[in-house]
Amino acid sequence: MEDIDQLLQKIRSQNMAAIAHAITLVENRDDGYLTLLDKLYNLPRHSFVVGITGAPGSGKSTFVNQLVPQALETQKKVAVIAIDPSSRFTGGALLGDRIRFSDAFPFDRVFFRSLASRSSLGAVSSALFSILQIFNGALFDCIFVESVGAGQNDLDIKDYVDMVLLFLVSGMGDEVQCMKAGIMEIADLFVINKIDLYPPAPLFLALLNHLSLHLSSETAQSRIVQTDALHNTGFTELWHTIENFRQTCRYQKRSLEKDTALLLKNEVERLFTEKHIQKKLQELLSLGTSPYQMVEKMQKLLEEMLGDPHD
Amino acid sequence: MAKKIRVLIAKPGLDGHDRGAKVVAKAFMEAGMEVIYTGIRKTPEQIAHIALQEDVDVVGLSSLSGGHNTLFVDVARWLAKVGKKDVLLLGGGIVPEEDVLYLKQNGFAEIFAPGTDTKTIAEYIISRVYPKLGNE
Repeated sequence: MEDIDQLLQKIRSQNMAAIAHAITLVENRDDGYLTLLDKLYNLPRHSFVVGITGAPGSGKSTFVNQLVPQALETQKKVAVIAIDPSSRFTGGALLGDRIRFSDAFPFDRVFFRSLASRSSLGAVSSALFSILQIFNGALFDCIFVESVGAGQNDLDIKDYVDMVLLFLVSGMGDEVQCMKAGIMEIADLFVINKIDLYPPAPLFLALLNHLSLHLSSETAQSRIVQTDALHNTGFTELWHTIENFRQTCRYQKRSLEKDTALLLKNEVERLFTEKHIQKKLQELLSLGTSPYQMVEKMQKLLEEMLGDPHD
Repeated sequence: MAKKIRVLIAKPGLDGHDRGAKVVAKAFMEAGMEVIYTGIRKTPEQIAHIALQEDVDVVGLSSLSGGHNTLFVDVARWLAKVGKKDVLLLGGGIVPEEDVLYLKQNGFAEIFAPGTDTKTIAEYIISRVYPKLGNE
């Protein structure tokens, strides 16, 4: 086991190689990773974490590229965590979010890490929570987390970040799409992107109608921003909105209970991809003749382990 | 759980022909690796910093412009300069045989010529990196 205290010290002094190495350590659950995370978790919160989510191709990566220079004007250190999907078939991943990322940013102030979602099911990465602890420990001021291209039910990012930006493009459905449960419920800010390509008015009005049901018209309007990432339209305004939110709302409330539940959920998702668990499930197949019977037997086994839910 | 091999595929210099780089990136994904593709026209310095931040096990460079002797070796120098150690350095593209030796003397483990089966490259990487990761 390597010297975790030494690694922690290097992370605290913002050594880029140490941060990069720590992320790998945590992702791979290498020796000492829990010791490191225990120490990092108890440090005071420093980083403001902005989640960026939305459909594939809605402009998230291009947006991050435009926002980083804005952030660098007031923030010392900025991190980008860009997540792309892992293949369920091969376990591999093609991480291509860097392609949109400019070459001109100073490497000593901007840390960009591409992550594969691995076993996570909700458009984030199973190690995201822990990786955020590393950047927080390294005193990064602002962290942008770009989710996997997300659909209506991909809400997990909400649990990890202080502010959620939802990327939308006009022309992808009627007003009822804006009213549905799911991803529309988690946005702190709606970003209508690609306004140079698709007239944003119908989507803007639909969103405004929907938000005005429980917000004043002024507040509702302030929750929607219209951008054109390619021509850098709307970004200064957008950054001001984020800054404003940071100053007024600051951090999402966290608790030991909430964080434990989050880690546990990741752990369960991960376990089901582990070979020895899959082997165990195979063994259980001898318990019954239909999937319903077998699931019922497995439930009973779990209840025996965890106690009666009706107690 | 087998640890994932992380690979950076990069194109140094003014060379926009990236079909080969993309094909190789996709093939490595299909071989179970996590592949980061930089996009075209990166400087050796940028590639080295990216390799450091992404903490990759392998850096694969692609060139079809003829600039490999300068650019590839520059990447090797920058990797050492930024402190990125313990990385398997590979090259691919149009590289004449007489240059392969020069590159191998300058930090490159292997240079893959056009026509190489992507499976051959993936197997080579796995055989070199798995022992380091402690995978079976």
